[in-house]
Amino acid sequence: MRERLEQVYQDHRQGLFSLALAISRSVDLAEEAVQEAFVRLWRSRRQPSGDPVSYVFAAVRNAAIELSRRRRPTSAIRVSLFDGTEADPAASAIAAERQQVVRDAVDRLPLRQRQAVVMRLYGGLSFQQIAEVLDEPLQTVASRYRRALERIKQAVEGKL
Amino acid sequence: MLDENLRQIEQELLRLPLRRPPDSLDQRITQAGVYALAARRRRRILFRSALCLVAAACLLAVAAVVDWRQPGGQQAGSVFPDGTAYIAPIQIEQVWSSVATEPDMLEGEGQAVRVQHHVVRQIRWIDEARNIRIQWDFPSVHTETMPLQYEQWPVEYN
Repeated sequence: MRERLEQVYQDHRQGLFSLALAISRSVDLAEEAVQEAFVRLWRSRRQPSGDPVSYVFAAVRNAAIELSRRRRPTSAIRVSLFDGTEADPAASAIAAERQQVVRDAVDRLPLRQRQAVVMRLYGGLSFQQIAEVLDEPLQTVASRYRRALERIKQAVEGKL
Repeated sequence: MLDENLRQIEQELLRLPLRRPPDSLDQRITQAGVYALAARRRRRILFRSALCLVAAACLLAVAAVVDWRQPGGQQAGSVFPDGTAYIAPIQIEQVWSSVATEPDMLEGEGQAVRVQHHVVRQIRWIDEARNIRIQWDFPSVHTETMPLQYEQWPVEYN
């Protein structure tokens, strides 16, 4: 069991952290949430009944929500999901601007849509796995993801 | 299915540089695993200790019941000598009372006194379960005759 969880962590380290960050909007809280989730998973004697990946993502999500409620980020600045220091030097000014608009649009998505995007694109989860994490019907998750993309598209079209 | 525009957005999103987890995260996860393992071991030791205690308590309880049922021990339910049934637990009290008559002066070969001791040994059983008290009296009389020169009675009752 422990080996399986460690394997999930190794395979989805970035996705798990991004999910926690998408919820908490704080690097410290996100890091703590991932740690807290694994502590709970290791202490728990319960075996995951379904997919272990969904199980771990759900644990991280719950820990992040709980920590965010308990301790609001001390800084008013909500940390972006994206690293702003890594600008693509080859990108043109227009492309860079477009990239910035997309980033902002993702950061401004409603929480559930943001979670769906993060799990789908940065966690590599299928819609079925995301549905298990969010405990929602598959169709709801798929349409939410689609709405998120449409929203980002609208933001890009509106700004550029 | 997503249309071409949404697919393009998807591709753009995938190209965005994500904020990376801090290097300390791996260390924290490893530590968490070690702590969780240690905590699980501690819990297992505690559980086993508790199990041992429970087993010991059970053994003691069985031993007490066996002892209780052995002849001579207090039984959980039994019959008094007069046939009265009782239910344990019972309390047993023994009360001694002693009354001595005034010494009689005896005439005869030498001066002597005679005292009669009326002793009652009272035994009470209290059956708490049925809230009854059973009492037996064992009266006995014995006579002491002794020369007058003795100032103290040779027999003492407690």
